[in-house]
Amino acid sequence: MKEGIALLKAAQKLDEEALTAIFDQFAPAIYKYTLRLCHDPIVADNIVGDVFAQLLEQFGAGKGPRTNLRSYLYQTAYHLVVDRSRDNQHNAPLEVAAGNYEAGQFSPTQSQIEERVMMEALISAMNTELTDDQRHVIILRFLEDFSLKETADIMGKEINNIKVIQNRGIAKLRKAMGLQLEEDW
Amino acid sequence: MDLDPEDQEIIRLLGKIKDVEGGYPEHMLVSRRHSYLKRMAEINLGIPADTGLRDAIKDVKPSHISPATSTLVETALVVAIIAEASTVAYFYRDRLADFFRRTSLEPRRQEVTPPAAVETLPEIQEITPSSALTVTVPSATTWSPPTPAGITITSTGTPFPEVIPSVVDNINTVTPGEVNLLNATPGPNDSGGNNGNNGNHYGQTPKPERTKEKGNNPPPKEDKPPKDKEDKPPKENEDKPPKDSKDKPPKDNNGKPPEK
Repeated sequence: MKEGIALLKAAQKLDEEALTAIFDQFAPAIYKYTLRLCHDPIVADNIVGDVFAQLLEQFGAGKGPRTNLRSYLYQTAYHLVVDRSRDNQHNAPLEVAAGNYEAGQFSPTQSQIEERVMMEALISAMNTELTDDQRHVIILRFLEDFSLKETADIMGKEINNIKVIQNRGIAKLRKAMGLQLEEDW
Repeated sequence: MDLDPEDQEIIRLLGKIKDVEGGYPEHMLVSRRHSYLKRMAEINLGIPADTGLRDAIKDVKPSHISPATSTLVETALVVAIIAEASTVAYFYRDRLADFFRRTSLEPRRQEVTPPAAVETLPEIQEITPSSALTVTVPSATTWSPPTPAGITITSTGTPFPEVIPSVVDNINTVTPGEVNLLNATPGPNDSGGNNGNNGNHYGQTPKPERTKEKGNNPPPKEDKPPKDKEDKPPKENEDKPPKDSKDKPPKDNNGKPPEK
Protein backbone atom coordinates (compact mmCIF):
# COMPACT_ATOMS: atom_id res chain seq x y z
CA MET A 1 0.00 0.00 0.00
CA LYS A 2 2.88 2.30 0.83
CA GLU A 3 4.43 1.53 -2.52
CA GLY A 4 1.16 2.43 -4.18
CA ILE A 5 0.95 5.76 -2.38
CA ALA A 6 4.61 6.53 -3.09
CA LEU A 7 4.05 5.64 -6.72
CA LEU A 8 0.99 7.90 -6.84
CA LYS A 9 2.85 10.84 -5.29
CA ALA A 10 5.72 10.42 -7.73
CA ALA A 11 3.26 10.29 -10.61
CA GLN A 12 1.63 13.49 -9.44
CA LYS A 13 5.04 15.13 -9.86
CA LEU A 14 5.08 13.77 -13.42
CA ASP A 15 7.91 11.39 -12.68
CA GLU A 16 8.50 9.37 -15.85
CA GLU A 17 9.43 6.16 -14.07
CA ALA A 18 6.37 6.29 -11.88
CA LEU A 19 4.08 6.98 -14.80
CA THR A 20 5.58 4.14 -16.79
CA ALA A 21 5.24 1.78 -13.84
CA ILE A 22 1.59 2.70 -13.47
CA PHE A 23 0.92 1.86 -17.09
CA ASP A 24 2.73 -1.47 -16.91
CA GLN A 25 0.88 -2.41 -13.75
CA PHE A 26 -2.66 -1.47 -14.65
CA ALA A 27 -2.98 -1.47 -18.44
CA PRO A 28 -3.52 -5.26 -18.83
CA ALA A 29 -6.14 -5.31 -16.06
CA ILE A 30 -7.99 -2.35 -17.52
CA TYR A 31 -7.92 -4.01 -20.91
CA LYS A 32 -9.45 -7.19 -19.54
CA TYR A 33 -12.11 -5.32 -17.66
CA THR A 34 -12.98 -3.25 -20.69
CA LEU A 35 -13.02 -6.30 -22.93
CA ARG A 36 -15.51 -7.98 -20.61
CA LEU A 37 -17.78 -5.01 -20.87
CA CYS A 38 -17.56 -4.11 -24.55
CA HIS A 39 -16.52 -7.48 -26.04
CA ASP A 40 -14.34 -5.84 -28.69
CA PRO A 41 -10.50 -6.02 -28.45
CA ILE A 42 -9.98 -2.92 -30.55
CA VAL A 43 -12.47 -0.87 -28.60
CA ALA A 44 -10.94 -2.14 -25.37
CA ASP A 45 -7.49 -1.12 -26.55
CA ASN A 46 -8.74 2.36 -27.47
CA ILE A 47 -10.40 2.74 -24.10
CA VAL A 48 -7.16 1.80 -22.37
CA GLY A 49 -5.39 4.52 -24.36
CA ASP A 50 -8.09 7.06 -23.38
CA VAL A 51 -7.93 6.09 -19.71
CA PHE A 52 -4.19 6.68 -19.44
CA ALA A 53 -4.31 9.81 -21.57
CA GLN A 54 -6.86 11.28 -19.16
CA LEU A 55 -4.67 10.25 -16.25
CA LEU A 56 -1.71 12.14 -17.72
CA GLU A 57 -3.83 15.23 -18.34
CA GLN A 58 -5.12 15.17 -14.78
CA PHE A 59 -1.62 14.87 -13.37
CA GLY A 60 -0.44 17.65 -15.68
CA ALA A 61 -3.22 19.92 -14.39
CA GLY A 62 -2.34 19.16 -10.77
CA LYS A 63 -5.43 17.03 -10.28
CA GLY A 64 -6.06 13.30 -10.44
CA PRO A 65 -6.43 10.61 -7.81
CA ARG A 66 -5.07 11.18 -4.33
CA THR A 67 -5.52 7.81 -2.65
CA ASN A 68 -6.93 4.94 -4.72
CA LEU A 69 -5.36 4.90 -8.16
CA ARG A 70 -6.75 1.50 -9.13
CA SER A 71 -10.33 2.47 -8.37
CA TYR A 72 -9.83 5.74 -10.24
CA LEU A 73 -8.60 3.95 -13.38
CA TYR A 74 -11.50 1.49 -13.35
CA GLN A 75 -13.97 4.28 -12.79
CA THR A 76 -12.61 6.15 -15.80
CA ALA A 77 -12.78 2.99 -17.90
CA TYR A 78 -16.32 2.32 -16.72
CA HIS A 79 -17.51 5.80 -17.75
CA LEU A 80 -15.82 5.51 -21.13
CA VAL A 81 -17.46 2.15 -21.75
CA VAL A 82 -20.86 3.50 -20.76
CA ASP A 83 -20.42 6.50 -23.06
CA ARG A 84 -19.45 4.27 -25.96
CA SER A 85 -22.27 1.82 -25.34
CA ARG A 86 -24.73 4.72 -25.50
CA ASP A 87 -23.33 5.76 -28.85
CA ASN A 88 -22.96 2.27 -30.28
CA GLN A 89 -25.19 -0.52 -29.05
CA HIS A 90 -22.69 -3.26 -29.61
CA ASN A 91 -23.25 -6.31 -27.49
CA ALA A 92 -21.07 -9.13 -28.64
CA PRO A 93 -20.94 -12.19 -26.39
CA LEU A 94 -17.87 -13.03 -24.36
CA GLU A 95 -16.54 -15.41 -26.98
CA VAL A 96 -13.01 -14.16 -26.61
CA ALA A 97 -12.70 -15.61 -23.18
CA ALA A 98 -14.35 -18.85 -24.17
CA GLY A 99 -12.14 -19.14 -27.24
CA ASN A 100 -9.03 -18.59 -25.21
CA TYR A 101 -10.20 -21.16 -22.72
CA GLU A 102 -10.73 -23.67 -25.48
CA ALA A 103 -7.39 -22.90 -27.07
CA GLY A 104 -5.59 -23.23 -23.75
CA GLN A 105 -6.82 -26.77 -23.15
CA PHE A 106 -4.96 -29.39 -25.13
CA SER A 107 -6.53 -32.69 -23.98
CA PRO A 108 -9.41 -32.00 -21.64
CA THR A 109 -10.62 -34.61 -19.22
CA GLN A 110 -14.27 -35.39 -18.53
CA SER A 111 -14.41 -33.10 -15.53
CA GLN A 112 -12.74 -30.35 -17.46
CA ILE A 113 -15.25 -30.72 -20.25
CA GLU A 114 -18.12 -30.49 -17.77
CA GLU A 115 -16.63 -27.40 -16.22
CA ARG A 116 -16.10 -25.86 -19.64
CA VAL A 117 -19.77 -26.42 -20.43
CA MET A 118 -20.78 -24.75 -17.21
CA MET A 119 -18.50 -21.79 -17.82
CA GLU A 120 -19.86 -21.33 -21.30
CA ALA A 121 -23.34 -21.38 -19.86
CA LEU A 122 -22.32 -18.82 -17.25
CA ILE A 123 -20.74 -16.50 -19.82
CA SER A 124 -23.83 -16.82 -21.98
CA ALA A 125 -26.07 -15.99 -19.04
CA MET A 126 -23.97 -12.97 -18.16
CA ASN A 127 -24.31 -11.68 -21.70
CA THR A 128 -28.01 -12.38 -22.11
CA GLU A 129 -29.74 -12.45 -18.75
CA LEU A 130 -28.09 -9.65 -16.80
CA THR A 131 -28.69 -5.96 -17.14
CA ASP A 132 -25.74 -3.66 -17.73
CA ASP A 133 -25.54 -2.64 -14.08
CA GLN A 134 -25.76 -6.23 -12.88
CA ARG A 135 -23.04 -7.29 -15.30
CA HIS A 136 -20.78 -4.41 -14.22
CA VAL A 137 -21.25 -5.20 -10.56
CA ILE A 138 -20.57 -8.92 -11.08
CA ILE A 139 -17.42 -8.18 -13.06
CA LEU A 140 -16.09 -5.63 -10.59
CA ARG A 141 -16.90 -7.71 -7.54
CA PHE A 142 -15.97 -11.25 -8.65
CA LEU A 143 -13.65 -10.86 -11.63
CA GLU A 144 -11.74 -7.73 -10.54
CA ASP A 145 -12.01 -8.39 -6.80
CA PHE A 146 -13.17 -4.92 -5.82
CA SER A 147 -14.86 -4.42 -2.49
CA LEU A 148 -18.44 -3.23 -2.18
CA LYS A 149 -17.30 0.31 -1.37
CA GLU A 150 -14.85 0.44 -4.28
CA THR A 151 -17.51 -0.88 -6.62
CA ALA A 152 -19.93 1.71 -5.34
CA ASP A 153 -17.33 4.44 -5.89
CA ILE A 154 -16.56 3.27 -9.41
CA MET A 155 -20.20 3.08 -10.43
CA GLY A 156 -21.27 6.13 -8.52
CA LYS A 157 -23.91 4.34 -6.48
CA GLU A 158 -24.65 3.62 -2.84
CA ILE A 159 -23.27 0.49 -1.20
CA ASN A 160 -26.74 -0.81 -0.43
CA ASN A 161 -27.71 -0.32 -4.03
CA ILE A 162 -24.66 -2.30 -5.12
CA LYS A 163 -25.65 -5.11 -2.75
CA VAL A 164 -29.13 -5.27 -4.21
CA ILE A 165 -27.82 -5.26 -7.78
CA GLN A 166 -25.31 -7.97 -6.96
CA ASN A 167 -27.85 -10.26 -5.30
CA ARG A 168 -30.30 -9.90 -8.14
CA GLY A 169 -27.55 -10.59 -10.69
CA ILE A 170 -26.40 -13.71 -8.89
CA ALA A 171 -30.00 -14.92 -8.57
CA LYS A 172 -30.49 -14.50 -12.29
CA LEU A 173 -27.27 -16.38 -13.07
CA ARG A 174 -28.23 -19.17 -10.69
CA LYS A 175 -31.62 -19.48 -12.27
CA ALA A 176 -30.15 -19.47 -15.77
CA MET A 177 -27.51 -22.03 -14.83
CA GLY A 178 -30.11 -24.29 -13.23
CA LEU A 179 -32.23 -24.20 -16.34
CA GLN A 180 -29.14 -24.79 -18.45
CA LEU A 181 -28.15 -27.78 -16.39
CA GLU A 182 -31.65 -29.24 -16.57
CA GLU A 183 -31.56 -28.94 -20.35
CA ASP A 184 -28.09 -30.56 -20.51
CA TRP A 185 -29.01 -33.49 -18.29
CA MET B 1 -22.18 -11.33 3.03
CA ASP B 2 -24.61 -14.25 3.26
CA LEU B 3 -24.75 -16.29 0.08
CA ASP B 4 -26.42 -19.58 -0.65
CA PRO B 5 -24.28 -22.63 -1.56
CA GLU B 6 -25.60 -22.34 -5.09
CA ASP B 7 -24.45 -18.75 -5.14
CA GLN B 8 -21.02 -19.87 -3.95
CA GLU B 9 -20.88 -22.21 -6.90
CA ILE B 10 -21.64 -19.32 -9.25
CA ILE B 11 -18.92 -17.24 -7.65
CA ARG B 12 -16.44 -20.09 -7.96
CA LEU B 13 -17.18 -20.37 -11.66
CA LEU B 14 -16.76 -16.62 -12.07
CA GLY B 15 -13.33 -16.86 -10.47
CA LYS B 16 -12.36 -19.54 -12.94
CA ILE B 17 -13.39 -17.30 -15.82
CA LYS B 18 -11.10 -14.64 -14.40
CA ASP B 19 -8.17 -17.03 -14.29
CA VAL B 20 -8.65 -18.41 -17.75
CA GLU B 21 -9.23 -15.23 -19.70
CA GLY B 22 -6.51 -14.11 -22.04
CA GLY B 23 -4.44 -10.99 -21.52
CA TYR B 24 -3.57 -7.92 -23.48
CA PRO B 25 -2.31 -8.88 -26.97
CA GLU B 26 1.39 -8.13 -27.19
CA HIS B 27 1.38 -6.01 -30.30
CA MET B 28 -1.49 -3.90 -28.97
CA LEU B 29 0.20 -3.42 -25.63
CA VAL B 30 3.49 -2.30 -27.18
CA SER B 31 1.81 0.14 -29.47
CA ARG B 32 -0.27 1.56 -26.68
CA ARG B 33 2.71 1.88 -24.37
CA HIS B 34 4.68 3.75 -27.03
CA SER B 35 1.91 6.27 -27.54
CA TYR B 36 1.57 6.65 -23.79
CA LEU B 37 5.25 7.45 -23.33
CA LYS B 38 5.09 9.96 -26.15
CA ARG B 39 2.15 11.68 -24.55
CA MET B 40 3.93 11.64 -21.19
CA ALA B 41 6.94 13.40 -22.73
CA GLU B 42 4.65 16.10 -24.14
CA ILE B 43 3.06 16.61 -20.73
CA ASN B 44 6.46 16.90 -19.09
CA LEU B 45 7.49 19.58 -21.59
CA GLY B 46 4.34 21.51 -20.82
CA ILE B 47 2.80 21.04 -24.21
CA PRO B 48 -0.96 21.14 -23.91
CA ALA B 49 -2.96 18.44 -25.53
CA ASP B 50 -4.78 18.94 -28.81
CA THR B 51 -3.34 22.33 -29.49
CA GLY B 52 -1.88 21.74 -32.89
CA LEU B 53 1.10 23.84 -31.96
CA ARG B 54 3.42 20.92 -31.74
CA ASP B 55 5.36 21.80 -34.88
CA ALA B 56 5.76 25.41 -33.89
CA ILE B 57 7.05 24.49 -30.48
CA LYS B 58 9.54 22.01 -31.86
CA ASP B 59 11.71 24.85 -33.10
CA VAL B 60 11.78 26.60 -29.76
CA LYS B 61 14.95 25.73 -27.89
CA PRO B 62 14.76 25.56 -24.15
CA SER B 63 16.64 28.33 -22.36
CA HIS B 64 19.92 27.43 -20.76
CA ILE B 65 19.50 29.68 -17.74
CA SER B 66 20.15 27.83 -14.53
CA PRO B 67 17.67 28.03 -11.62
CA ALA B 68 20.17 29.93 -9.49
CA THR B 69 20.55 32.57 -12.15
CA SER B 70 16.82 32.95 -12.55
CA THR B 71 16.42 33.33 -8.79
CA LEU B 72 19.12 35.98 -8.77
CA VAL B 73 17.44 37.88 -11.58
CA GLU B 74 14.09 37.71 -9.81
CA THR B 75 15.61 39.07 -6.61
CA ALA B 76 17.31 41.91 -8.48
CA LEU B 77 14.03 42.82 -10.15
CA VAL B 78 12.16 42.91 -6.85
CA VAL B 79 14.88 45.10 -5.26
CA ALA B 80 14.79 47.49 -8.24
CA ILE B 81 11.00 47.80 -8.00
CA ILE B 82 11.17 48.56 -4.28
CA ALA B 83 13.92 51.16 -4.78
CA GLU B 84 11.97 52.89 -7.53
CA ALA B 85 8.84 53.01 -5.39
CA SER B 86 10.82 54.48 -2.49
CA THR B 87 12.32 57.19 -4.70
CA VAL B 88 8.94 58.20 -6.08
CA ALA B 89 7.50 58.32 -2.56
CA TYR B 90 10.39 60.55 -1.44
CA PHE B 91 9.93 63.07 -4.26
CA TYR B 92 6.18 63.28 -3.79
CA ARG B 93 6.19 63.09 -0.01
CA ASP B 94 4.39 66.44 0.36
CA ARG B 95 1.52 65.37 -1.83
CA LEU B 96 1.33 62.04 -0.13
CA ALA B 97 1.28 63.69 3.29
CA ASP B 98 -1.52 66.03 2.18
CA PHE B 99 -3.42 63.16 0.76
CA PHE B 100 -3.17 61.09 3.93
CA ARG B 101 -3.96 64.10 6.11
CA ARG B 102 -7.03 64.84 4.03
CA THR B 103 -8.23 61.30 4.18
CA SER B 104 -7.62 61.03 7.91
CA LEU B 105 -9.11 64.44 8.89
CA GLU B 106 -12.05 64.33 6.58
CA PRO B 107 -15.14 64.26 8.79
CA ARG B 108 -17.19 61.29 8.42
CA ARG B 109 -20.58 62.02 7.05
CA GLN B 110 -23.23 59.89 8.43
CA GLU B 111 -26.56 59.80 6.85
CA VAL B 112 -29.18 60.16 9.50
CA THR B 113 -32.62 59.05 8.78
CA PRO B 114 -35.17 61.27 10.54
CA PRO B 115 -37.57 59.51 12.82
CA ALA B 116 -40.97 58.70 11.56
CA ALA B 117 -43.11 61.83 11.48
CA VAL B 118 -46.01 62.06 13.86
CA GLU B 119 -49.22 61.33 12.12
CA THR B 120 -51.12 64.51 11.51
CA LEU B 121 -54.68 64.83 10.51
CA PRO B 122 -55.21 65.63 6.86
CA GLU B 123 -57.28 68.64 7.82
CA ILE B 124 -54.38 70.09 9.69
CA GLN B 125 -52.05 69.37 6.85
CA GLU B 126 -54.23 71.31 4.48
CA ILE B 127 -54.09 74.48 6.57
CA THR B 128 -51.43 76.78 5.32
CA PRO B 129 -50.45 79.23 7.96
CA SER B 130 -50.51 82.77 6.74
CA SER B 131 -47.48 84.88 7.28
CA ALA B 132 -49.69 87.92 7.95
CA LEU B 133 -51.23 86.36 11.02
CA THR B 134 -50.31 88.37 14.00
CA VAL B 135 -51.03 87.53 17.57
CA THR B 136 -51.03 90.33 20.05
CA VAL B 137 -50.18 89.40 23.52
CA PRO B 138 -52.58 91.26 25.78
CA SER B 139 -50.46 91.27 28.81
CA ALA B 140 -46.84 91.11 29.59
CA THR B 141 -46.98 88.19 31.83
CA THR B 142 -44.51 85.46 32.23
CA TRP B 143 -46.96 83.03 30.66
CA SER B 144 -46.01 82.25 27.12
CA PRO B 145 -48.10 79.75 25.21
CA PRO B 146 -46.38 77.43 22.79
CA THR B 147 -46.15 79.07 19.44
CA PRO B 148 -47.18 76.90 16.50
CA ALA B 149 -44.91 76.75 13.53
CA GLY B 150 -45.59 79.35 10.91
CA ILE B 151 -47.22 81.88 13.25
CA THR B 152 -45.29 85.03 13.86
CA ILE B 153 -45.80 86.84 17.08
CA THR B 154 -45.06 90.53 16.92
CA SER B 155 -45.40 93.04 19.65
CA THR B 156 -47.41 96.13 18.72
CA GLY B 157 -47.20 99.63 20.07
CA THR B 158 -50.61 99.46 21.69
CA PRO B 159 -50.34 100.46 25.32
CA PHE B 160 -51.31 97.69 27.60
CA PRO B 161 -53.80 98.35 30.30
CA GLU B 162 -52.64 98.12 33.75
CA VAL B 163 -52.67 94.67 35.07
CA ILE B 164 -54.02 94.00 38.46
CA PRO B 165 -51.61 91.73 40.19
CA SER B 166 -54.36 89.78 41.84
CA VAL B 167 -56.03 89.05 38.47
CA VAL B 168 -52.73 88.08 36.97
CA ASP B 169 -52.15 85.82 39.82
CA ASN B 170 -55.55 84.28 39.31
CA ILE B 171 -54.81 83.80 35.65
CA ASN B 172 -51.40 82.37 36.12
CA THR B 173 -52.25 80.19 39.05
CA VAL B 174 -55.18 78.15 37.95
CA THR B 175 -55.95 75.30 40.17
CA PRO B 176 -57.54 72.22 38.64
CA GLY B 177 -60.94 73.01 40.15
CA GLU B 178 -61.14 76.62 38.96
CA VAL B 179 -61.90 78.18 35.58
CA ASN B 180 -59.43 80.38 33.87
CA LEU B 181 -61.27 83.67 33.50
CA LEU B 182 -59.17 84.86 30.63
CA ASN B 183 -60.01 81.96 28.39
CA ALA B 184 -63.39 80.88 29.73
CA THR B 185 -66.50 81.57 27.60
CA PRO B 186 -69.08 83.61 29.55
CA GLY B 187 -72.22 81.70 30.51
CA PRO B 188 -75.74 82.75 29.51
CA ASN B 189 -76.70 83.82 33.03
CA ASP B 190 -73.56 85.63 33.79
CA SER B 191 -74.43 89.16 34.68
CA GLY B 192 -71.08 90.60 35.13
CA GLY B 193 -69.78 92.71 32.26
CA ASN B 194 -72.71 92.37 29.79
CA ASN B 195 -75.33 94.55 31.43
CA GLY B 196 -77.76 91.72 31.92
CA ASN B 197 -78.02 91.02 28.20
CA ASN B 198 -77.23 87.45 27.70
CA GLY B 199 -78.33 87.52 24.05
CA ASN B 200 -81.50 85.52 24.59
CA HIS B 201 -84.60 87.74 23.96
CA TYR B 202 -87.22 85.05 23.56
CA GLY B 203 -90.40 85.85 25.48
CA GLN B 204 -89.35 89.37 26.38
CA THR B 205 -91.48 91.15 23.78
CA PRO B 206 -93.84 93.59 25.58
CA LYS B 207 -97.50 92.66 25.37
CA PRO B 208 -99.91 95.15 23.72
CA GLU B 209 -102.18 97.06 26.01
CA ARG B 210 -105.83 96.27 26.00
CA THR B 211 -107.83 99.16 24.51
CA LYS B 212 -111.41 97.84 24.64
CA GLU B 213 -113.58 97.95 27.62
CA LYS B 214 -114.59 94.83 29.33
CA GLY B 215 -118.31 95.24 28.78
CA ASN B 216 -118.14 95.54 25.02
CA ASN B 217 -117.07 92.04 24.45
CA PRO B 218 -119.88 89.94 22.94
CA PRO B 219 -121.06 87.07 25.04
CA PRO B 220 -119.60 83.80 24.07
CA LYS B 221 -121.76 81.50 22.04
CA GLU B 222 -123.02 78.42 23.68
CA ASP B 223 -122.66 76.23 20.63
CA LYS B 224 -119.07 76.90 20.22
CA PRO B 225 -116.75 76.22 23.01
CA PRO B 226 -114.58 79.09 23.91
CA LYS B 227 -111.37 78.98 22.07
CA ASP B 228 -108.35 78.72 24.04
CA LYS B 229 -106.28 81.69 23.31
CA GLU B 230 -103.25 80.08 24.58
CA ASP B 231 -103.41 77.45 21.81
CA LYS B 232 -103.29 80.02 19.14
CA PRO B 233 -99.92 81.05 17.97
CA PRO B 234 -99.15 84.62 18.70
CA LYS B 235 -100.13 87.01 15.95
CA GLU B 236 -97.63 89.01 14.14
CA ASN B 237 -99.30 92.15 15.38
CA GLU B 238 -98.40 91.33 18.86
CA ASP B 239 -94.84 92.12 18.12
CA LYS B 240 -95.86 95.53 16.93
CA PRO B 241 -95.87 98.26 19.44
CA PRO B 242 -99.36 99.46 20.61
CA LYS B 243 -100.91 102.21 18.64
CA ASP B 244 -101.04 105.59 20.12
CA SER B 245 -104.37 106.41 21.79
CA LYS B 246 -104.38 109.83 20.17
CA ASP B 247 -104.92 108.39 16.71
CA LYS B 248 -108.11 106.67 17.74
CA PRO B 249 -110.22 107.98 20.54
CA PRO B 250 -111.48 105.48 22.97
CA LYS B 251 -114.89 104.19 22.12
CA ASP B 252 -117.70 104.63 24.57
CA ASN B 253 -121.26 103.44 24.65
CA ASN B 254 -120.88 100.26 22.76
CA GLY B 255 -118.57 101.44 20.13
CA LYS B 256 -120.40 104.62 19.32
CA PRO B 257 -118.54 107.83 19.25
CA PRO B 258 -119.34 110.05 22.12
CA GLU B 259 -121.81 112.79 21.51
CA LYS B 260 -120.37 116.16 21.19
